[in-house]
Amino acid sequence: MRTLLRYSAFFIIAFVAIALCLDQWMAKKIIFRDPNSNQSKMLRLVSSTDPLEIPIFGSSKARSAFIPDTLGPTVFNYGMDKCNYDVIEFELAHELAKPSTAPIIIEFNHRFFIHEPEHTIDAATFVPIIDKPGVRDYLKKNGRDELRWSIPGVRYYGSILTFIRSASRKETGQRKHISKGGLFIDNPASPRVLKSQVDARDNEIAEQHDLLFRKTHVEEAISAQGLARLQGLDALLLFSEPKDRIELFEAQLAQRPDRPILIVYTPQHPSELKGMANYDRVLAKFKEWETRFPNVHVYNYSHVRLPDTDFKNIAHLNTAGARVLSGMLKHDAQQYLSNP
Amino acid sequence: MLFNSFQYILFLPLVLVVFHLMPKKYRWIMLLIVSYYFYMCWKPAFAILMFISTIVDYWAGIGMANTTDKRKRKGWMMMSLCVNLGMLFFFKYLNFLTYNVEVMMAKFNIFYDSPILHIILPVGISFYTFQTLSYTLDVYKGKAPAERHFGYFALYVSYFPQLVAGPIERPGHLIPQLHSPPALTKDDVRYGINKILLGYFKKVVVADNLALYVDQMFAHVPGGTGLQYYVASVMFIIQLFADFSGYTDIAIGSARLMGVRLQENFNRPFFTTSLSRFWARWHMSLTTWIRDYLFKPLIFSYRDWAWAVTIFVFVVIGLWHGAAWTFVLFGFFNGVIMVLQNMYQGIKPLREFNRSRVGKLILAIWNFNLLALLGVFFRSGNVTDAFEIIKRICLDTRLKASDLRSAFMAEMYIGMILLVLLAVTTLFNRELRFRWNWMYITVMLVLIFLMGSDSSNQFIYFQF
Repeated sequence: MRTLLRYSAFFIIAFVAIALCLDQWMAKKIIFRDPNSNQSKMLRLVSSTDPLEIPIFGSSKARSAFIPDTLGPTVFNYGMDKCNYDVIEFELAHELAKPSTAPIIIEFNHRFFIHEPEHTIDAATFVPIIDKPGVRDYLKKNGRDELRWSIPGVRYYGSILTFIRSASRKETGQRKHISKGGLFIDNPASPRVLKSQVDARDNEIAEQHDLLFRKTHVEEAISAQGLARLQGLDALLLFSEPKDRIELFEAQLAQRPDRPILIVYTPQHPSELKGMANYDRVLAKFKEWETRFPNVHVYNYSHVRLPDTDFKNIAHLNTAGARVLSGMLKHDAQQYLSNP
Repeated sequence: MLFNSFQYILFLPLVLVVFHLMPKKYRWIMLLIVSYYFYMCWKPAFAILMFISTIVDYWAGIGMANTTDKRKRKGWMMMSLCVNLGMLFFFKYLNFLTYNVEVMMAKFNIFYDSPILHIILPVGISFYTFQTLSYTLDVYKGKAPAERHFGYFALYVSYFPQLVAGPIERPGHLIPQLHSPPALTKDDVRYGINKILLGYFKKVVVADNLALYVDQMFAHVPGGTGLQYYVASVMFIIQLFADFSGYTDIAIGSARLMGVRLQENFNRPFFTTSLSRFWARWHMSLTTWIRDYLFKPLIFSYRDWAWAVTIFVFVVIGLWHGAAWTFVLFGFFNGVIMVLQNMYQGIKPLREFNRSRVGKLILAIWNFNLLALLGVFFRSGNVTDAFEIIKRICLDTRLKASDLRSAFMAEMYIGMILLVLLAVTTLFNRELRFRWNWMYITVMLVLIFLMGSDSSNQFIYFQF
């Protein structure tokens, strides 16, 4: 026992010292250094009281598609990786609680309502602001609260590389521009890479059809693995409509009739929509929301056909595509954007 | 409870303190309780299976020890084999078999709808089943004495550091250490801590970060070019090594802090010039098990069919990893390539070249690339994807740097840095002795804190 304690002492001291030093370095110098990082965006959202700010909420599709400078002087792009309604629910709750009457832009796509907090709610985004009002409750509600997130030294473990990467990111590069939360890449996808991605999507659609056929025709076989795969493919390809999530979203849409909410379905690469057999459900929802909530305005650009050179990959627009979308939205929603 | 979880970081020191404070003769009780607790953290019901396996093998061992009648001894051994392999078959292979029979019958226009049993595969069942089987077989062959103390035997089956992903221990090596672990020395503590740190570095820094790139590339096939898939397959084989050897290092280090020496599972496997040499250094506790209990008896009976025995044994190794055709093919191609390599190495004029430094280097690079290709079967979700990826790697030979840039560039660059860091660890001496041990500890801790991934990824080998 003595041997163990004696020779472990250095290890324990080193563990605590290194953990605390890195913790303080992160907290004071690194985490909020990049104003366009996810954690800075969240801090801005919960702290900002600018009554004129027009926030854009959405996934990385939103981050690369909406150019704030084109849309208006007070627009800020809060788009971030893997963000869907799991995170937008939190963002909307905070934004709607503000006295502002400025419009809110929400980027919509067919995976908007998929509820998978363990993938969508990133610790690196929320742990730095965990002491802000409502954050811990939100994490608890989604089963994403961990004891260690309150313990200095280990609270940032697993996120440090993310913080360092965002802190060392340059505002502008030869082919990359970062502005007011948006991140825009000039390069189009190389034709070979794009073709590979389209092929992959075609394979997934074919596989989904095959599994569905086997599932619905009892004389054919489907394994347990196949069933799980089918569920995964459905989530990837189809519009998912969990009732409770949609009700929650609709309650938020109804919360502030004085604040225009612009729901924007950005231009999609044809391969993104190809397998969406229930696209009509999306249209029905859009129609329903516009009818039920007078402050909700839907801008559906999903089928606007852009050339492949306007895409960074099949899921994201590049700068050229973003210019097209931002120009269209600026024109179509002028009445809300020009006079927030 | 995962080794890379916050719970284990609290669990291990607590266990060590109680273990060393406890009188030696009662330690087995405490270890048995914490081992079952460790296992039940996944799903308490799984412990029942392990307990059944323990009771059956204990009886079988005692039964064999109490008789000299060959038939009776064989009967006890067969009973143990049937129960253990039966449980393994039911939980791991039954659905696979019924599904494939159903598909096969459908080809002959015989349709029936077999029920899909929603069975959850108990964690580590392949590992502890093989460990208990090695006990029964060793007792049957007279290589190890039967353990008469039920508590120590139960601890041999359930000893928590190596319970869910090995190393698969032999009774002659582990049980005597559980009875009377040697006194803990400062070398044990130093080695244990260093080994655990190395394991965490491999798992949370290397494997989990490489997984970010690998998972993206294998998720949507064929969403990449040949070069992208080549990089992904190389990264996967390194990820697999870092993941599994990382687990083993933490297991060995944890046991060593209790004075127990578990066997090594890896010995620089990528520095080899053929697949047979690779398998002699990769997951050694499994390969020696297969060699002793399957390969040797078979080769003794079918000496003229060595090539077929080799392929068969590797198909079994593939199936041990999982009930899927990808694993069957992984094993099959390993066996076929090994047979071909043995033929190639038998060519006399090439022997000199193969033994030269240049020859060894070329063979090592070639062998590593073969492993990367074979790893595609191991990682792919299905056979079609695996062949599609291999087709891309082999036929889409246009090398464009822009392809790499457009596919998860940051993840790829971080992966490259990690490969270099992992390569540095292979230069460490086996006993992990450093002139400045404090520096090793500091550097490892900084790397783990800075670059550790919190994805809470399961160790890949847990699923087996």
